[in-house]
Amino acid sequence: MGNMFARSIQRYRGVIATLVLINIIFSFASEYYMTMYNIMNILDHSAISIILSVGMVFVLATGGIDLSIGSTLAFTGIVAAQLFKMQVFWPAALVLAVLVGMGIGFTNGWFITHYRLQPFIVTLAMLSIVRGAALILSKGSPIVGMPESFLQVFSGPRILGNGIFIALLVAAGAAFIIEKTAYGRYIRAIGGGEEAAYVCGIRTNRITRSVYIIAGALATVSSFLFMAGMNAAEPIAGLTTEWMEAIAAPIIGGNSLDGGRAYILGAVIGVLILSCIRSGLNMMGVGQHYQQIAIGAVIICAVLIDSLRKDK
Amino acid sequence: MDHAYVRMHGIHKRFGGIKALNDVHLEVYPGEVLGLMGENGAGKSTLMRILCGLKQLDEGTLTIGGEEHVLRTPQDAQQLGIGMIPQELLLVDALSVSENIFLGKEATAGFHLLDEKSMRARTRELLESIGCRDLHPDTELSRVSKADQQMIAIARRVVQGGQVFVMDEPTSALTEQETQNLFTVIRKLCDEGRSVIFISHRLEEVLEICDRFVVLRDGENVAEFPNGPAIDREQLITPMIGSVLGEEYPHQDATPGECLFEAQQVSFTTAQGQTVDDISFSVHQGEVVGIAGLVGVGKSELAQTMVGIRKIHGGQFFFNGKAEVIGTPVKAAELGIGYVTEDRRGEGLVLGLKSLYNMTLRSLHKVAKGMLIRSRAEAALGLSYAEKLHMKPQYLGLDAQNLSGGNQQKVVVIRQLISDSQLIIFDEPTKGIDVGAKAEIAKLIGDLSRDGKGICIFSSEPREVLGVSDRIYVLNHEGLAGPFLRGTIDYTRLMSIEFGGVE
Amino acid sequence: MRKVQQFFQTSVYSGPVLAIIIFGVALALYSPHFLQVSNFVNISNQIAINIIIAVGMTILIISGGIDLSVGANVALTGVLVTLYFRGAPGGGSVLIGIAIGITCGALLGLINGLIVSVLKAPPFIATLGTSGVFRGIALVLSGGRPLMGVNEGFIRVFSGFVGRVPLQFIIALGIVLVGFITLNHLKIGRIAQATGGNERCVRTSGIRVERYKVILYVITGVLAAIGGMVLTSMMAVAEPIAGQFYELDAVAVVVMGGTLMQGGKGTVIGTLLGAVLLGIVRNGLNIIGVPANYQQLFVGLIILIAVVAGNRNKDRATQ
Repeated sequence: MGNMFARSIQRYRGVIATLVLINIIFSFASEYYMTMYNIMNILDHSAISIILSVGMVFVLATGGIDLSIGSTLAFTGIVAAQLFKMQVFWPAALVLAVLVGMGIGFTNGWFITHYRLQPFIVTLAMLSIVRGAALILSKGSPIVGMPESFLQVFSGPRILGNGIFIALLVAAGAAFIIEKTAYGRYIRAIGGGEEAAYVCGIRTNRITRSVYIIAGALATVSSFLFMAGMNAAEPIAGLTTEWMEAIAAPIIGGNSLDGGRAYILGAVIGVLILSCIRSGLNMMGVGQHYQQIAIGAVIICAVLIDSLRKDK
Repeated sequence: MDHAYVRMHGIHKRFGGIKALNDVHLEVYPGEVLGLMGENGAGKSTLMRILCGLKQLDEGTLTIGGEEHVLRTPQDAQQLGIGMIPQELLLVDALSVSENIFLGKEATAGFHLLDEKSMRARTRELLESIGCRDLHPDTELSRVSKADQQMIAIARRVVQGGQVFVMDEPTSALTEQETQNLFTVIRKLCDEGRSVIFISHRLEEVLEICDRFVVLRDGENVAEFPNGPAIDREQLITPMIGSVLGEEYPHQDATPGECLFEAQQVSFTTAQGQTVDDISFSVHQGEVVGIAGLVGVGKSELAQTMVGIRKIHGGQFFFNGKAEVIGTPVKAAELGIGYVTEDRRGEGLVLGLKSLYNMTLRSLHKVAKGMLIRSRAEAALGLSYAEKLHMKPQYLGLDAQNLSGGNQQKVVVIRQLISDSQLIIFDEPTKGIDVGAKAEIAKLIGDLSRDGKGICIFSSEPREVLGVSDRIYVLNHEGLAGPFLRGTIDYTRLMSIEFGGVE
Repeated sequence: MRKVQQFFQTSVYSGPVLAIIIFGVALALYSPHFLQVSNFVNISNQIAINIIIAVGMTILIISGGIDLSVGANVALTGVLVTLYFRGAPGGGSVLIGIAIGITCGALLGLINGLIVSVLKAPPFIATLGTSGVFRGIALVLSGGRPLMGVNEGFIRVFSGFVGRVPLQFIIALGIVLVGFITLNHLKIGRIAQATGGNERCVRTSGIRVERYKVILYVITGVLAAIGGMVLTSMMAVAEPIAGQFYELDAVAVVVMGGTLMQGGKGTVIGTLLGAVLLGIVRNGLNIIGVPANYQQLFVGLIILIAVVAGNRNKDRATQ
């Protein structure tokens, strides 16, 4: 166990150092930054991105990508909200929504493995299809009003909602699967060398499909947090920033578009880095627009560091 | 030794019209190291691929463990305990040592949970037993040396329940010490009742490790030596070579001109990370210089160093008498050094591009006016060279991937010619090219030298080097031997220098 | 007839052409409105910007690259040009405005090109990052609000009419022609195809791959900037949030036109056909009266079907 802890530190020292450094800088820059309230705020805002990023780590590990998770977030939220309206017992509605999310993921995976298509283009088409479906099902406008007990579970009464705990639970579960089960190995093996994996008797197609199913399921879970936070389901939820961050954060955390790596904790820290930058710049009175520049710059730096590392 | 674990009987295999295997039989007994011998193209790898379920046999029977089997996939063979450790190893760089060894065969402690502890312990045990004590089970494979990766591939086969191990050139990446470690491992495997089929071009090693030999030539059994340790290299080489050859390579004497290219005390690193020092040789205008050597000895790497693809660690190149630093392929192109790679499909050609476009890739400036390519001039230029090299004009319009190996090779050669290369370096010029086209390529090389080009060929086929070269060097583990003038060295002598300088 | 048959059996364009014909005939039968000139004007107006951007993207994807920052480039160029018009006395000069726009596009392309080729970052994620930066700069410069005050002359240059043909569509066709020539008759086009097919081969042949890559990103950037100027003149306003998802639209029509995502093979004409197909589908959905909400779904389906139908990896799909 201690061994694993040491390995984690070794693997993530770069991102951890970055996170610490950012926090030090901001706590000097603004006295309001290092307050309990703000820290909770940052964590609260990170929850959705963490869950999406965790799903993306699975996909990235196999060398794939999923652009459709933002749309899936919106669509499954609408599905759940419509079911709420139909007076379906809400936990049952959530289960159904998760199944829908998994179905979208399966469709992605099926096209990718069956036709040997590029994940980029398949999930791009799916982005459009699923977003359209969300708009249709909601008639283009938000569905307001969530069941009270649902709000309590997913948002909670305190400042620090339950969202972050759910997100961390998801991350911990994912890390467990990746580190402790053969499945976690197989997804990395597929990303690192599909032929080698195939020769070792691994069902590569089936496993490739499964990661998109996981991404779809987790996009659905993140939609629950979104709905609980807004007390509404939005057909245009997750339009841009969510999915972009869901790709950027894992990459910042050391995952690679080439596959073979599955660093859950890295992705979580990646999300936190982005959230801290947002919050810190906010505190310093830097406008939203500059924040976007800063975040773009962080993404570029992350890939540059990665490509320099590879050169060596 | 009565009960063969594997018995291949009356195996026939055709590729197109060519008989690759003709009534071949092979037995593998428990606990033996079988040396499967033969030259390139003798049918060794086809036979092994059939045994491992990677190819289907046309005729014949395959009996494994006393029962007849039909192997359709590599998995079928693996289930019967037969597996190949291919030269390319097929490991996953992104996984750790232990993860690679157990890939697909993970130990679980119930409930699908990995039993890390036992796997790590077993990895350590395995690594220890194969002499890799310094290797940590958690090290990522990309940080492991080629030699250790070889051991890991073996360990993986052991874990996956191997009964018969087919090792294809396992020592090509290994040092002397590492080879000895490997042999210890092989002996241990055999003591446990497993068998190893050992394929290697290094005679000394083969003679040291193998208990029994089967020799193939031209797809047929030509000799079998049940008592391996008792035979010597002459006995083994004779059946491999067969009768004395006829004039396979037409040759006209060249009249060498000025010194075109010279390497002085060059040193570089091979793909396996070994340093090769003190390489000096020269190529004159109008001559063919052949550099012979076994697979994996560093020939390709030397060629790559000459064209700026690989770093030179020491020494100096001279081109037309001037010292030059060839640090990039761009520089080599500027000097007029052309490179015909061994890896035609991976490096030599853009497969999805028309042959004509492949030919002119390096010298678009010749057919362009400013930025605009004049298609007619381009076609005419390509056509003139195609005629010279006896290539059908309609091939120019086809994508390179649709040409035969021989024609593909011509396309790459034409690219070097169009760009006015004075020195053309050929790495394995006839690899993967059928027999008829081989002679044609050889003739082409001779023609080029008579046109005044300097030609340098790197080849692991001794016949080819002897057939086309005016002067011959031999690269072996100790360095570069030679030069030998044409006619002053024969096949046997060349082979014995290749195998380690026993003169 | 023979020739027609041969075309559909062998041409790389057969898929999109067939789809265009099917949709065209179906729509013509469904509604007389479809075949009216005003409707074609409408379609050509809608697809012009997509075509302009997608031509650059085509060559870039053929060379093995990709640029996800073109949408942000569209916005930033529009904002910069408009800021100039607002700031310059008397509304500024049209030519200088265009020069600023093109310089801006070239510069953004140069930045992408240097990051990808010299610093060797993977283009997908690197241009995702620059996309954020460019869009952020557009938001900062505009204060996050739409900018009015676009020069009248500028508007006329990019969104006038020649007869009944929209000027921007003519520009788009001109760019298709230039793109076609670049890809098929210029050195850089040839090198792009070769690099996308086998970069190692091009590199070991002694060709300065990096230099060509940078130029390709610059070309893509300039075309996106032209797209940005067309959009600005069409709207008569510069939106800092304009051009969202333009990059995805561009990639979609490139792939629908038969260009391989993994590089090496593709055509500019195919991209044009892909854009026309997408345009007709969107237009048709309008004509039929499909609610706006359904349109996105159908567009996605068409992309998916087009990609599956034109898939050349099918032979390898057995495992």
